[in-house]
Amino acid sequence: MIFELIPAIFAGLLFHGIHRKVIARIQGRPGPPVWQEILHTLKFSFKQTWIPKTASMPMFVFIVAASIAIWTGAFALVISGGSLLLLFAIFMLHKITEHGLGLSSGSPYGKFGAIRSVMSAASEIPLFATIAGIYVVTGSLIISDITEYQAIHGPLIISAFPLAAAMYIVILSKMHYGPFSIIEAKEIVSGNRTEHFGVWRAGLEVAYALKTFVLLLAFVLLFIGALPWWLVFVIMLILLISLSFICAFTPMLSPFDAVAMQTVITGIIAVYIVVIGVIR
Amino acid sequence: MKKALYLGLAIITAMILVSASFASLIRIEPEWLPVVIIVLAFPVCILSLFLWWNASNIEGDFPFTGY
Repeated sequence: MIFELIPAIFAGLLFHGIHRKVIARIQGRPGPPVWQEILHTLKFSFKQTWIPKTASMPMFVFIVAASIAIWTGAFALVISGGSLLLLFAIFMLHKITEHGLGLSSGSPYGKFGAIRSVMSAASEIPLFATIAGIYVVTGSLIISDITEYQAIHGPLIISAFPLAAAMYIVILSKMHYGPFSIIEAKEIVSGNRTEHFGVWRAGLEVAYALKTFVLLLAFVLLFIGALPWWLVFVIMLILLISLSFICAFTPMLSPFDAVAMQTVITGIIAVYIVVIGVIR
Repeated sequence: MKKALYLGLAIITAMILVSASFASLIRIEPEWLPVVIIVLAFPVCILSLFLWWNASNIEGDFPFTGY
């Protein structure tokens, strides 16, 4: 698995670089080279590193390791075609690490980011709605079963488009510079990551690169199906560029608006699930 | 001293990762065990590798704690 994990991290970092490049080009800036995030991670890993005096030392370090561990687990889960419920559990753990990341530093900016991460728990609800909807449609929560279902009945992105849209919103809410990225908004410096610099930030970059890769891969497997690896990669790239367009054109929402919007989306999906549940 | 510790940790966990990957490849029973080992060892390997090659480890500083 390690031989798939390392390329996935580099691909995730490359995706982050492409994301930044697309946003910059849309906004009329030259932007950084696409491999910038790979260099960025290496740069942070070489930087002088310490733990702030105000930080809770064990938590400050552990939370970085936990972030890498949970997305490593998510990667293993998705490539092995495991359970969607476990993916949801990993999302919940990710929410806890986001919160802990901000609280552990002792910085007010980090704490603001941590509080916003609790407020934006609504961003996980569309995923729950997606999972429930997929079960209603396919009768299974196992990723490999869902890809087999699509091989027979066609891609779910066509037959269950609202579910794909909800999952798309979940991925959007986890993208950097997105309308829902209130946790790391610039008015609170870098939010929950403010005090994590040097090696700790490099570790977080690795975890978030894996997160982006896993979420895009999960979307392709859940809504388009099993395809040759190069085609999966191309579709992931197209998906990423579409997300970059939204991030470039949409201003960051206020925390309350972000939560309200995600709750409304979940409500629409809930109505959709009830309707298809009744029809079937 | 700390640098040697981090290097040792990075090498040991890298060896564990390669062994667990091989175990996963030949599908030893139970199949979840190598995955759990990788999930636990990978963050340690990454962070100890970064801590080994970073510029230096010094005492902590007081960050800005608000007005």
